[in-house]
Amino acid sequence: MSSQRLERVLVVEDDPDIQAIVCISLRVFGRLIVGEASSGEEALEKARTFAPDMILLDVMMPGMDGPATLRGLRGNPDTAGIPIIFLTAKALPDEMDELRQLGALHVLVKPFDPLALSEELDSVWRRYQGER
Amino acid sequence: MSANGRAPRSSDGGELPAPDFRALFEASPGLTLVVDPDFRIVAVSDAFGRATMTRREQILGRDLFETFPDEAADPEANGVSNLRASLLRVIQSREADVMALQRHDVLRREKGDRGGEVRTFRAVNSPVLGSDGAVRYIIHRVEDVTELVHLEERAIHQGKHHEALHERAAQREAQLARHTKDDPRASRQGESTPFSDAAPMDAPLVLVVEDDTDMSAFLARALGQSYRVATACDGTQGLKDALELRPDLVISDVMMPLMTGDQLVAVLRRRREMDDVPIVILTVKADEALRVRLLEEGAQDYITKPFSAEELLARIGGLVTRRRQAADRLRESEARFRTLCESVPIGVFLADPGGRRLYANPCWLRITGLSTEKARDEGWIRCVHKDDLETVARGWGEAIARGGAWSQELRVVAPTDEAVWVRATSTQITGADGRVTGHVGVLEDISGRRQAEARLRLQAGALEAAANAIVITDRAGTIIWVNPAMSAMSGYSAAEVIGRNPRILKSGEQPPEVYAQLWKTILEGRVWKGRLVNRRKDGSVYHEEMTVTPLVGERGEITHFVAIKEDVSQSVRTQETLAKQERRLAASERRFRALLENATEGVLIVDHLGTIAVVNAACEALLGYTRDELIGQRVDVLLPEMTRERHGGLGQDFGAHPEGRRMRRNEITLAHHRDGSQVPITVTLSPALTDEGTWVLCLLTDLRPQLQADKAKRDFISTVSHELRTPLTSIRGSLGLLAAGAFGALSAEAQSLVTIASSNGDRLLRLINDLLDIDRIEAGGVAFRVRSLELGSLVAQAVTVSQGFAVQYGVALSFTSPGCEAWVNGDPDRLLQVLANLISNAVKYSPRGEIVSVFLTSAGTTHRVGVSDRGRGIPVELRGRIFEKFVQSDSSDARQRGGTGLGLFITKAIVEQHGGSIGFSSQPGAGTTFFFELPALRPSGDAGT
Repeated sequence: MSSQRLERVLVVEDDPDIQAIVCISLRVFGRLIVGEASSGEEALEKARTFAPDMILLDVMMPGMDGPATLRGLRGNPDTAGIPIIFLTAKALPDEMDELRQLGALHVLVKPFDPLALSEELDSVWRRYQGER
Repeated sequence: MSANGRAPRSSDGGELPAPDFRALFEASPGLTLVVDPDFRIVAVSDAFGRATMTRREQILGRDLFETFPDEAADPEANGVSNLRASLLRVIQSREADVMALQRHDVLRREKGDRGGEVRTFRAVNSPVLGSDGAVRYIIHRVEDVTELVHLEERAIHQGKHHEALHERAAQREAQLARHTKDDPRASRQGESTPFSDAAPMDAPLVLVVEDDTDMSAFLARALGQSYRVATACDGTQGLKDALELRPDLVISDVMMPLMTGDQLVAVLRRRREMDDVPIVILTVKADEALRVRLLEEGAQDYITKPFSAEELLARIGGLVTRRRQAADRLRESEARFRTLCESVPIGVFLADPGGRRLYANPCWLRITGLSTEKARDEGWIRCVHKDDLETVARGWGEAIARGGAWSQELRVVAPTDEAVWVRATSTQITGADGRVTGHVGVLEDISGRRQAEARLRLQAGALEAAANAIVITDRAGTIIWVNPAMSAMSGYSAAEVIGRNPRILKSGEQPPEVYAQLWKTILEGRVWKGRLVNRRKDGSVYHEEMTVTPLVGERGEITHFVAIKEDVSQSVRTQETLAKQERRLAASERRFRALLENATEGVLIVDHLGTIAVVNAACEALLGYTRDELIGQRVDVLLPEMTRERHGGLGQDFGAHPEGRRMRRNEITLAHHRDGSQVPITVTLSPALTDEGTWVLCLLTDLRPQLQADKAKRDFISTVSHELRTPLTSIRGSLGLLAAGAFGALSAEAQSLVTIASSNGDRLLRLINDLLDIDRIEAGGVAFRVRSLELGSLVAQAVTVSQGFAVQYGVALSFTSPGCEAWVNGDPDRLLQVLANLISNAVKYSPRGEIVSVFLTSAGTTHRVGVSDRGRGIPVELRGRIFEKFVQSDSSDARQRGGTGLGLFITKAIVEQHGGSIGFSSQPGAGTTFFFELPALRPSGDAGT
């Protein structure tokens, strides 16, 4: 994958309010193409069909939670290379460490600033592009 | 017997008519025969005829050897054979010849027909010389010496008398010879001999001193049957004979030429050896004055002439007998005393008046080790020990000089060179006349006594000096002696207790049975040992340990008791104190045990060698081991294997710096449970310094309940955090999007309401974040991501971030950088949190239009960041509590300023977790400056990465 601008982000969030705010924030302020999934299972499907540049993945979800979804994505060659940013309200440092160790590119803590969200994703994206 | 008829003489000694010599010769009692040189018998005495049973007329004129044949072969006639030889020797030498003894059978007709008997005869052949000097006749006189020979034979047996008899015999022979040859009277009067024939040899000797020969002869004859008689013809001769012959009695005439009888008496009485010999004086007339004078001079009796032979014998008989008896008694006494002297076990000595030793008995010689010869005269002094020589010489010399008694204890050097202690005592002896005649003394070996005395002195000294008190009582218990230690112990002087009973020491604190048992024991002859509580003279009570030993006499009876005492009061007090301490200790131990056993925490006590010594019940429950399984084991067994090695080093560190602390601070220790699992615990160590080394008390706290609680709390917080943040995320997100005009511009009113809602959402978020922080801080669970960082950049970033906030309050922010880098170790997020908190506080409390100054200074080892406002200052009453939770200037602040009251508390905790410090200075009305300092860090190569 050549160096390119962040365009497509898949937001996986079971809470529809937060899902809406994130999507609005990314679409309005980041002018990104945003795909939505409300569960882990849906995320696995959407990631394959939507083919996002990056996935913003909630941790606490009923059924398949964030880490399980990450493992699922990593288990499919079509989605294994997509960078993932966790979105969590569990902001305890060790919890965040655990998430990073699962292979997430970044961990965003709720609540987040919707005005700065797209900028933060873009910053992480650029750093990710640089490291590659 | 009377000789008057045959020898008439005048009492005054005048001339008498010539006697018929032949008749006298023939009637003489001697056995006498006279022959001419041709051995023809010319005269023979009647006694000779009777003895030989011959008649004179038959043998006169005949040849001697025809009459008495000389048979050489006949042993019995041996003497006759010798007769011829003897006669020839007389003819040749013209001197008397004494023949050997002869034995003959004779008949004793005169004393009745009792048959024959063997008698012993001695013959003496004496020449009678003619005017031409040739031998005209030979007188052959035979003497019956049977008695003499018997005496001699007895003397041989008696030994002692042997020489004396021989001497006397010799003397007698000499006397005989003198009187028969030299004395003209003897020649003239053939039968007048100084010793009678009839008197035995041991008959008393009477010396007759008489110048009248007739009287002398008369006396000799009169006395001759009962006494041996010697005669002297005048006083001078008498004195000489008396001193020489030592007669048993002296009869002396008074009137004599040269020396009178009274003069003789005076002289003899002055001679010591003669002073007790009875002297009888013959006086002519009854001169009263002379008699008195004679008796005064020392004569025993006197006889007035004329006197009869009977009177004479009667007078002298008693005197001689008494003197003999006295002499015998003296001899017997002497013999007794000599025997006594020889056998007594005491040294006896005699010395002359000048102190020269005359006699020493065997014991004396044995003690001194001297021989008789060496002890004689002054020789005895050589046995005196040299150290005593001077005092002995002086003492003995003074005794001799002043003539008194002498007594001295001195040492003599025995033959073994050993000094022997003796006591020498002497007394002077005085004669009847008062003159000192010598000294008699005794020498007593007192070395045994001296040794006993020395032993006694030593023993007495030892008893006196003994440290233990000693009391000696008689059998009844009456005190007869105490030593000084006893007086010191009891307070009673010796004089106060002697004669009294030891019961005066009774304190009354012991039952009578004790004393009864004591007496029972010692009266049975056994030793009693025990303790008594006694009372001193001053009334104080003391404890003594006493041993009473009965002493037994020669017959085994108890005579005394000896008590040896020691004051053990101090020891008793010490024991009581010790016992009290032990009881206290035991009680303390019981309490300690109870506390230990009931403690909810596990307790292990480990000795200085790292061995488990004590385990309590809680520990058993915690680790699953019984105490029997643990005590004696190394404490390491309770640690998982992987940490044992590390523990050893830590144990050494603890030994080097023994102070109470928690083991592995900030870490959880895992202990090895008996079932193989690991139990999380904290261990608090407390050192106990013992004589052996440092023991360690380990308090084991089970962390499982706490960890479970921690987990539950964390889960809860995590959940609450999530549940609160999730809706808040939606609220803030929605408001943010509206306020940002994501869906078009809002009216002013709408904008104002969105802003209100948004700021309260922010406040709620801060509150949630602060509460989470506090929980973490209080739980010690805040994890810092520490790295080296440049403080200046961080401060600048914080100022930049806070600019928007400051603008809202109309406050300007200024930052003064030091111009050099200030590196520290820190968690940038947390430090930014600190800075944001301080800046936001300063902004909120600053009046509008004021400036909040942020500065950074470096002081070598620390870097200081300060934030100053120009607000109203911190009220004095709050200054001591400003870093506590929920403290704000007033209750309205929280609403007005939008703070939680938790910021400074968190700030302080973060700074201190960085090893730094925080403080403030405040002037009421003039503003406040908060500052914190962090340790400076030398920048490293990877700084800033």
